[in-house]
Amino acid sequence: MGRLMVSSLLGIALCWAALYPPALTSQTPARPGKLVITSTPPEATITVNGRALEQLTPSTFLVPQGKYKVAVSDGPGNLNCAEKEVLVTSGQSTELHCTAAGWK
Amino acid sequence: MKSATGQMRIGRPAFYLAAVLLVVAVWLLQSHATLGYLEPEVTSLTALQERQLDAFLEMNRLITTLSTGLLAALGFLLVNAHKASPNADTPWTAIGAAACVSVSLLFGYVVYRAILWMLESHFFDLGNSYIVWPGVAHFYTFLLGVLFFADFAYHQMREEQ
Repeated sequence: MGRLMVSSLLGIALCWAALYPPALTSQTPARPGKLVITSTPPEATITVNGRALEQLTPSTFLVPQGKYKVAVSDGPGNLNCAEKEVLVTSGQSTELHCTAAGWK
Repeated sequence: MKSATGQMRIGRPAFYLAAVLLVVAVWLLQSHATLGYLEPEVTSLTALQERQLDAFLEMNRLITTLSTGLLAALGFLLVNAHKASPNADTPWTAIGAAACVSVSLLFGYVVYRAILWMLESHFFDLGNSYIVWPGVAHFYTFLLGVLFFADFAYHQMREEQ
Protein backbone atom coordinates (compact mmCIF):
# COMPACT_ATOMS: atom_id res chain seq x y z
CA MET A 1 0.00 0.00 0.00
CA GLY A 2 2.81 2.35 1.00
CA ARG A 3 4.78 1.57 -2.16
CA LEU A 4 1.69 2.13 -4.30
CA MET A 5 1.23 5.52 -2.67
CA VAL A 6 4.87 6.46 -3.33
CA SER A 7 4.58 5.29 -6.95
CA SER A 8 1.41 7.30 -7.48
CA LEU A 9 2.96 10.43 -5.96
CA LEU A 10 6.06 10.07 -8.12
CA GLY A 11 3.82 9.51 -11.16
CA ILE A 12 1.97 12.77 -10.42
CA ALA A 13 5.32 14.56 -9.95
CA LEU A 14 6.49 13.22 -13.32
CA CYS A 15 3.34 14.47 -15.07
CA TRP A 16 3.69 17.84 -13.32
CA ALA A 17 7.35 18.14 -14.34
CA ALA A 18 6.56 17.25 -17.96
CA LEU A 19 3.34 19.19 -18.45
CA TYR A 20 3.41 22.15 -16.03
CA PRO A 21 3.32 25.38 -18.11
CA PRO A 22 6.74 26.73 -16.96
CA ALA A 23 8.31 23.50 -18.17
CA LEU A 24 6.56 23.84 -21.52
CA THR A 25 7.58 27.47 -22.04
CA SER A 26 11.18 26.64 -21.18
CA GLN A 27 11.15 24.23 -24.12
CA THR A 28 11.08 27.28 -26.38
CA PRO A 29 13.94 29.79 -26.33
CA ALA A 30 13.17 33.29 -25.01
CA ARG A 31 11.75 35.82 -27.47
CA PRO A 32 14.60 37.57 -29.25
CA GLY A 33 15.08 41.33 -29.23
CA LYS A 34 15.30 43.40 -32.42
CA LEU A 35 18.34 45.42 -33.38
CA VAL A 36 17.38 47.89 -36.11
CA ILE A 37 20.38 49.59 -37.72
CA THR A 38 19.88 52.33 -40.30
CA SER A 39 22.09 55.01 -41.82
CA THR A 40 21.98 58.12 -44.01
CA PRO A 41 23.01 57.43 -46.72
CA PRO A 42 22.22 53.70 -46.67
CA GLU A 43 24.39 50.70 -47.67
CA ALA A 44 27.07 51.15 -45.02
CA THR A 45 28.92 48.25 -43.39
CA ILE A 46 27.59 47.00 -40.03
CA THR A 47 29.87 45.58 -37.36
CA VAL A 48 28.40 43.86 -34.30
CA ASN A 49 30.70 42.80 -31.45
CA GLY A 50 33.70 43.28 -33.72
CA ARG A 51 32.29 41.11 -36.53
CA ALA A 52 31.58 42.77 -39.88
CA LEU A 53 28.26 41.48 -41.22
CA GLU A 54 27.25 40.65 -44.78
CA GLN A 55 24.11 42.77 -44.49
CA LEU A 56 24.41 46.50 -45.16
CA THR A 57 22.25 49.26 -43.66
CA PRO A 58 19.29 49.36 -43.27
CA SER A 59 19.01 45.95 -41.59
CA THR A 60 17.11 44.37 -38.74
CA PHE A 61 18.64 41.58 -36.68
CA LEU A 62 17.17 39.25 -34.09
CA VAL A 63 19.40 38.70 -31.11
CA PRO A 64 19.07 37.30 -27.58
CA GLN A 65 18.72 39.79 -24.74
CA GLY A 66 22.03 41.42 -23.82
CA LYS A 67 24.57 44.14 -24.57
CA TYR A 68 25.96 44.57 -28.08
CA LYS A 69 28.70 46.76 -29.50
CA VAL A 70 27.57 48.19 -32.83
CA ALA A 71 29.57 50.20 -35.36
CA VAL A 72 28.68 51.47 -38.82
CA SER A 73 31.28 52.55 -41.36
CA ASP A 74 32.11 53.09 -45.05
CA GLY A 75 29.38 52.99 -47.68
CA PRO A 76 28.51 55.77 -50.15
CA GLY A 77 28.65 58.45 -47.43
CA ASN A 78 31.99 57.17 -46.07
CA LEU A 79 30.38 57.04 -42.62
CA ASN A 80 32.30 56.41 -39.44
CA CYS A 81 30.05 55.79 -36.45
CA ALA A 82 32.32 54.42 -33.76
CA GLU A 83 31.46 51.37 -31.64
CA LYS A 84 28.46 52.01 -29.40
CA GLU A 85 27.19 49.71 -26.68
CA VAL A 86 23.45 49.11 -26.73
CA LEU A 87 21.19 47.02 -24.53
CA VAL A 88 18.68 44.83 -26.34
CA THR A 89 15.80 43.44 -24.33
CA SER A 90 13.67 40.43 -25.13
CA GLY A 91 10.68 41.25 -27.36
CA GLN A 92 11.73 44.93 -27.69
CA SER A 93 13.12 46.84 -30.63
CA THR A 94 16.34 48.88 -30.27
CA GLU A 95 16.96 51.36 -33.08
CA LEU A 96 20.26 52.92 -34.10
CA HIS A 97 20.73 55.50 -36.82
CA CYS A 98 24.12 56.53 -38.16
CA THR A 99 24.71 59.82 -40.00
CA ALA A 100 27.78 61.76 -41.14
CA ALA A 101 27.56 63.65 -37.80
CA GLY A 102 27.63 60.41 -35.78
CA TRP A 103 24.98 58.38 -33.97
CA LYS A 104 21.51 59.87 -33.67
CA MET B 1 19.97 -3.80 -7.89
CA LYS B 2 21.46 -6.61 -9.97
CA SER B 3 20.18 -10.18 -9.86
CA ALA B 4 22.29 -13.34 -10.14
CA THR B 5 21.55 -13.52 -13.88
CA GLY B 6 23.07 -10.07 -14.46
CA GLN B 7 19.70 -8.50 -15.12
CA MET B 8 18.36 -5.37 -13.51
CA ARG B 9 15.54 -5.40 -10.99
CA ILE B 10 14.01 -1.96 -10.80
CA GLY B 11 11.26 -1.16 -8.33
CA ARG B 12 8.26 0.95 -9.35
CA PRO B 13 9.18 3.98 -7.20
CA ALA B 14 12.77 3.84 -8.45
CA PHE B 15 11.53 3.85 -12.05
CA TYR B 16 9.38 6.93 -11.47
CA LEU B 17 12.15 8.63 -9.52
CA ALA B 18 14.60 8.03 -12.38
CA ALA B 19 12.03 9.34 -14.87
CA VAL B 20 11.41 12.50 -12.79
CA LEU B 21 15.16 13.09 -12.46
CA LEU B 22 15.58 12.67 -16.22
CA VAL B 23 12.79 15.15 -17.04
CA VAL B 24 14.11 17.69 -14.49
CA ALA B 25 17.68 17.33 -15.84
CA VAL B 26 16.55 17.95 -19.44
CA TRP B 27 14.37 20.86 -18.29
CA LEU B 28 17.26 22.48 -16.35
CA LEU B 29 19.56 21.99 -19.32
CA GLN B 30 17.08 23.74 -21.60
CA SER B 31 16.25 26.60 -19.24
CA HIS B 32 19.89 27.40 -18.50
CA ALA B 33 21.19 27.05 -22.04
CA THR B 34 21.89 30.58 -23.26
CA LEU B 35 23.16 30.35 -26.79
CA GLY B 36 24.21 33.33 -28.86
CA TYR B 37 22.87 34.19 -32.30
CA LEU B 38 22.52 37.14 -34.64
CA GLU B 39 19.93 36.52 -37.31
CA PRO B 40 18.78 38.88 -40.05
CA GLU B 41 15.01 39.40 -40.06
CA VAL B 42 13.07 37.93 -42.99
CA THR B 43 9.49 38.70 -43.92
CA SER B 44 8.87 35.58 -46.04
CA LEU B 45 10.66 32.38 -46.93
CA THR B 46 12.13 31.77 -50.37
CA ALA B 47 11.19 28.62 -52.28
CA LEU B 48 14.60 27.13 -51.45
CA GLN B 49 14.19 27.86 -47.72
CA GLU B 50 10.74 26.25 -47.79
CA ARG B 51 12.25 23.10 -49.32
CA GLN B 52 15.04 23.12 -46.73
CA LEU B 53 12.47 23.39 -43.96
CA ASP B 54 10.38 20.56 -45.45
CA ALA B 55 13.46 18.31 -45.69
CA PHE B 56 14.42 19.09 -42.10
CA LEU B 57 10.92 18.43 -40.74
CA GLU B 58 10.69 15.24 -42.82
CA MET B 59 13.80 13.88 -41.12
CA ASN B 60 12.44 14.96 -37.73
CA ARG B 61 9.19 13.07 -38.43
CA LEU B 62 11.06 10.00 -39.69
CA ILE B 63 13.15 9.70 -36.51
CA THR B 64 10.04 10.24 -34.37
CA THR B 65 8.15 7.53 -36.28
CA LEU B 66 11.07 5.11 -36.05
CA SER B 67 11.41 5.83 -32.31
CA THR B 68 7.72 5.10 -31.76
CA GLY B 69 8.03 1.88 -33.78
CA LEU B 70 11.08 0.87 -31.78
CA LEU B 71 9.20 1.41 -28.50
CA ALA B 72 6.36 -0.77 -29.82
CA ALA B 73 8.79 -3.53 -30.88
CA LEU B 74 10.49 -3.31 -27.49
CA GLY B 75 7.15 -3.68 -25.74
CA PHE B 76 6.26 -6.66 -27.93
CA LEU B 77 9.56 -8.42 -27.13
CA LEU B 78 9.24 -7.66 -23.42
CA VAL B 79 5.70 -9.05 -23.27
CA ASN B 80 6.83 -12.21 -25.08
CA ALA B 81 9.81 -12.56 -22.76
CA HIS B 82 7.54 -12.13 -19.76
CA LYS B 83 5.18 -14.82 -21.09
CA ALA B 84 8.09 -17.23 -21.58
CA SER B 85 9.52 -16.70 -18.09
CA PRO B 86 7.28 -14.59 -15.85
CA ASN B 87 9.83 -14.27 -13.04
CA ALA B 88 12.70 -13.05 -15.19
CA ASP B 89 13.98 -9.51 -14.61
CA THR B 90 14.02 -6.83 -17.30
CA PRO B 91 17.42 -6.69 -19.01
CA TRP B 92 19.26 -3.38 -18.62
CA THR B 93 19.59 -3.13 -22.41
CA ALA B 94 15.77 -2.98 -22.71
CA ILE B 95 15.64 -0.26 -20.03
CA GLY B 96 18.47 1.62 -21.78
CA ALA B 97 16.70 1.39 -25.15
CA ALA B 98 13.40 2.63 -23.67
CA ALA B 99 15.12 5.52 -21.85
CA CYS B 100 17.16 6.63 -24.89
CA VAL B 101 14.21 6.45 -27.27
CA SER B 102 12.00 8.37 -24.82
CA VAL B 103 14.64 11.12 -24.52
CA SER B 104 14.92 11.13 -28.33
CA LEU B 105 11.16 11.69 -28.62
CA LEU B 106 11.40 14.57 -26.13
CA PHE B 107 14.20 16.20 -28.15
CA GLY B 108 12.14 15.71 -31.32
CA TYR B 109 9.43 17.80 -29.66
CA VAL B 110 12.00 20.41 -28.56
CA VAL B 111 13.26 20.72 -32.17
CA TYR B 112 9.68 21.17 -33.38
CA ARG B 113 9.13 23.96 -30.79
CA ALA B 114 12.42 25.60 -31.83
CA ILE B 115 11.31 25.61 -35.48
CA LEU B 116 8.03 27.29 -34.47
CA TRP B 117 10.01 29.82 -32.40
CA MET B 118 12.26 30.57 -35.41
CA LEU B 119 9.28 31.19 -37.70
CA GLU B 120 7.44 33.28 -35.09
CA SER B 121 10.58 35.38 -34.61
CA HIS B 122 10.79 36.06 -38.37
CA PHE B 123 14.17 34.57 -39.19
CA PHE B 124 15.36 31.49 -41.01
CA ASP B 125 18.50 29.64 -39.96
CA LEU B 126 18.44 25.89 -39.51
CA GLY B 127 22.01 26.22 -38.23
CA ASN B 128 20.84 28.23 -35.19
CA SER B 129 22.21 26.65 -31.99
CA TYR B 130 18.70 26.34 -30.51
CA ILE B 131 17.75 24.11 -33.44
CA VAL B 132 21.06 22.29 -33.97
CA TRP B 133 21.73 20.92 -30.48
CA PRO B 134 18.32 19.35 -29.82
CA GLY B 135 18.41 18.04 -33.41
CA VAL B 136 21.74 16.34 -32.76
CA ALA B 137 20.49 14.99 -29.40
CA HIS B 138 17.29 13.78 -31.15
CA PHE B 139 19.32 11.72 -33.63
CA TYR B 140 22.07 10.39 -31.38
CA THR B 141 19.82 9.34 -28.49
CA PHE B 142 17.72 7.46 -31.07
CA LEU B 143 20.89 5.82 -32.42
CA LEU B 144 21.92 4.79 -28.90
CA GLY B 145 18.42 3.41 -28.34
CA VAL B 146 18.74 1.33 -31.54
CA LEU B 147 22.07 -0.03 -30.29
CA PHE B 148 20.60 -1.09 -26.92
CA PHE B 149 17.53 -2.50 -28.67
CA ALA B 150 19.65 -4.55 -31.11
CA ASP B 151 21.63 -6.01 -28.21
CA PHE B 152 18.44 -6.81 -26.30
CA ALA B 153 16.67 -8.34 -29.34
CA TYR B 154 19.73 -10.41 -30.27
CA HIS B 155 20.08 -11.91 -26.78
CA GLN B 156 16.33 -12.40 -26.54
CA MET B 157 16.30 -14.40 -29.77
CA ARG B 158 19.31 -16.48 -28.69
CA GLU B 159 17.61 -17.31 -25.41
CA GLU B 160 14.45 -18.38 -27.24
CA GLN B 161 16.47 -20.65 -29.54
